Amino acid sequence: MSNSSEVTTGEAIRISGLSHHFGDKQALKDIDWVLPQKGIVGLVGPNGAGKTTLFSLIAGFLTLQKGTISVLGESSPVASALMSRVGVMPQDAIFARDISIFDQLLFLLKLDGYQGEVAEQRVREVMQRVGLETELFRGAAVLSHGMGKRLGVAQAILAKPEIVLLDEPTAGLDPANARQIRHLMRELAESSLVIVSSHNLLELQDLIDSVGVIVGGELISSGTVEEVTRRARRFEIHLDAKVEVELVVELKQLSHINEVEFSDQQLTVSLNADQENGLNGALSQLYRFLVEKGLPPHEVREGASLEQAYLKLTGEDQSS
Amino acid sequence: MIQFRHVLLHAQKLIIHSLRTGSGVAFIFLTILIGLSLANLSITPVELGFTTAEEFSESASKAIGFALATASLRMGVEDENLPPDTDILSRMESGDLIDLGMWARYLILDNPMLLSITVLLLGVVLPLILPLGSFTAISSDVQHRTVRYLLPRTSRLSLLVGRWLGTLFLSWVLILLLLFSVVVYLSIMLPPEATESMVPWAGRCLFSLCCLATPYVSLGVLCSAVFRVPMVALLAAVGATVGTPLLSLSLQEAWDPLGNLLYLLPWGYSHELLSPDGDKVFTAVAYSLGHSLLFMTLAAWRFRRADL
Amino acid sequence: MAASDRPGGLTALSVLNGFFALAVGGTTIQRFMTSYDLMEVAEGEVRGRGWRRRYLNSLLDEGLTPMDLQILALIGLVATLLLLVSIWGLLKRSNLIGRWLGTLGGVALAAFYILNIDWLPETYLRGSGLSIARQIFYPLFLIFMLHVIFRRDFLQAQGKSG
Repeated sequence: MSNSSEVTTGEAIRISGLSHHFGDKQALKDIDWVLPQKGIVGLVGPNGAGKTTLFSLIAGFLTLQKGTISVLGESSPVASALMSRVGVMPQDAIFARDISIFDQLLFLLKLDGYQGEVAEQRVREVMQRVGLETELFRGAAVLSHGMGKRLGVAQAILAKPEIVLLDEPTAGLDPANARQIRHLMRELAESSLVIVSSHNLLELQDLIDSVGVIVGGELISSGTVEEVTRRARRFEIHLDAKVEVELVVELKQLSHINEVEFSDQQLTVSLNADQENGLNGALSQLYRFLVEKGLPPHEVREGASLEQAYLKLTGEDQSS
Repeated sequence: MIQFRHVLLHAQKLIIHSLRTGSGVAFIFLTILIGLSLANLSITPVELGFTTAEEFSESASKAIGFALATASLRMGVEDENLPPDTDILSRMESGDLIDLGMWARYLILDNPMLLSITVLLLGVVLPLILPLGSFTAISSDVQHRTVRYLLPRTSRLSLLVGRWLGTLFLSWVLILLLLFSVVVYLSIMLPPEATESMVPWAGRCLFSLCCLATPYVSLGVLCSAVFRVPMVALLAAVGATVGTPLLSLSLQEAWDPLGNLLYLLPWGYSHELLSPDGDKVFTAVAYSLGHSLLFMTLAAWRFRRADL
Repeated sequence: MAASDRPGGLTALSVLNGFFALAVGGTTIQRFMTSYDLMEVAEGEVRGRGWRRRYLNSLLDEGLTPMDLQILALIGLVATLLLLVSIWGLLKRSNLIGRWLGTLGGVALAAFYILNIDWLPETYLRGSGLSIARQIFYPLFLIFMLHVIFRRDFLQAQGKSG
């Protein structure tokens, strides 16, 4: 079963021609995707787009119908050689309520091959990393939604896996805990591949190295964040004076400007960064123009570009 | 792709979990309670002195002979050499049924009758109780998706076999406890010389009940692997256990060969686990193991392909 | 937050404790009543129907005294109270009230059944020896569960509250 010799250096997962259906419903259509060995990859898409199905197929929860998934060189995601090398935080799984969290994690670590004192020490260490060390001997039933999420992350990283799949890991977490989890993901990404699905695109933008956008079961865009958002680089510019329509008309005639939206004292400008001078050139041109018009920017914020790219790709962009 | 260490871990986890859950505690308590109640049912008439031991053994012999005849001949088989109104008790005494009479007397006279009767009663009731211990083996984790924490770490086959082994071990321990309690009580109640003959017979009874439990536990695990909702798995296992003999006996009225449906489950041969004939015992044990293997193969086939 | 992280097995044990408390409580009342009947018969006060009087006389003839029954009833009463109180302790996972009073309740229950077998004549037990053995199973099971399976739950709950 193992065909490690076929592993292409630098790739952890190779998905080829993957399709899946539930009855009449086509959940995934002919997906091809290659994921690197390290870093954080975001998986985004509308509800019901097929993200969880793709996660479940990579994790081996669902049986393959069509196509192949090669994980760490193994031709099947359920190959015995992969046991404990892939950590998964499923979206809707719950821990048993009659056994303490410590005992459950200890059991999972024993399956991972850890034993005795080392296993116990590792459980404590991981629970501390997700900020749940005080809940160690409680039942999972008393945990809040956010704590449950963190526990899910904890079990996924218990055995230091080479690939970590996290389905909505920060959903429902307060800002401090979400930040803790993001920090954890960054640490993991230094030695592992972390695939994370989330609807919080602002959060993802700062976190991920590459992204895949899945819509209607199709992977419609993938690559680094830079690649995916390149044509939709957006800036929010706050001015001290009210934006006039004439200014917008003139602005739209500049060579690096793709789109302009405005409201009261705010301009939202989409820059074309493909030009020779790239993003810096485009920004310089924009600043110069505004200063010449006597409207120096009060605040410039680069943001929502992944969100905008996503909305454009998914056809949900209602603006402009 | 079975990992032996994982199988043991899953079995151990299941046993511990069974002892901590409400359904597990209920299963253990009910098994012992019902088992001892059945033993009480067979021992009380003697204890109360309502009948002498001889009278009791005679009536027990008739009852057991009747049960054995029903199980092995199933009433519908007509014997043309006998008058049509001959009842089965009379037929037991006739030449062709002499083996059954011998068998009944083997259970009653040659071996400690109270233990035999208790074990025969357990043989009927245990199949109905055992699904209580196995219906959550897989389905509970599938329903709550807890299985998704396990799948990246262990093979489906290891999980299934481990859970089956844990359930089976728990059932065997309960049967052992039950028989131990009955034997200890009978040893106190009966004269010392009776105890000596009781121990080997108790061993034989324990072996028979453990053999009997194996296919029913496997059936419970099969239902648990097929149905995602534990209560549906329980209903399916109990329904199949109760429904098979009822269906078989009623269909047999219409067409005799349909009576063989009884062999879909161990109902058709389980009584032979206590037969005086060694060959029959061997065959019944082989059937039990075959049934268990069949159920577990079906469970593995279904579970390996299941979307979890 | 969910209401409790109490294992389902503890809830089941508390239900069984209630069931056995009621059962032994009923037997306790019966023992008390029989002991007063025996006293009346022993003192020569004729009451009730003939068969009842003959039955009580036969018990006296077999060596049963009202004091025996009263001691049994007292033990039964203690067992009933301990089991009832321990229900609350089991539900709250209290080490003292749940685990230790439950254990004492189990011991009292076992003592009650064993002394019943030992002291009461067979005519009084009416051949229900194995049914008593069946009842002895529960206290043993209870003690095993409290001290082996759920021991850590009680200690951790105690550590949390303490």
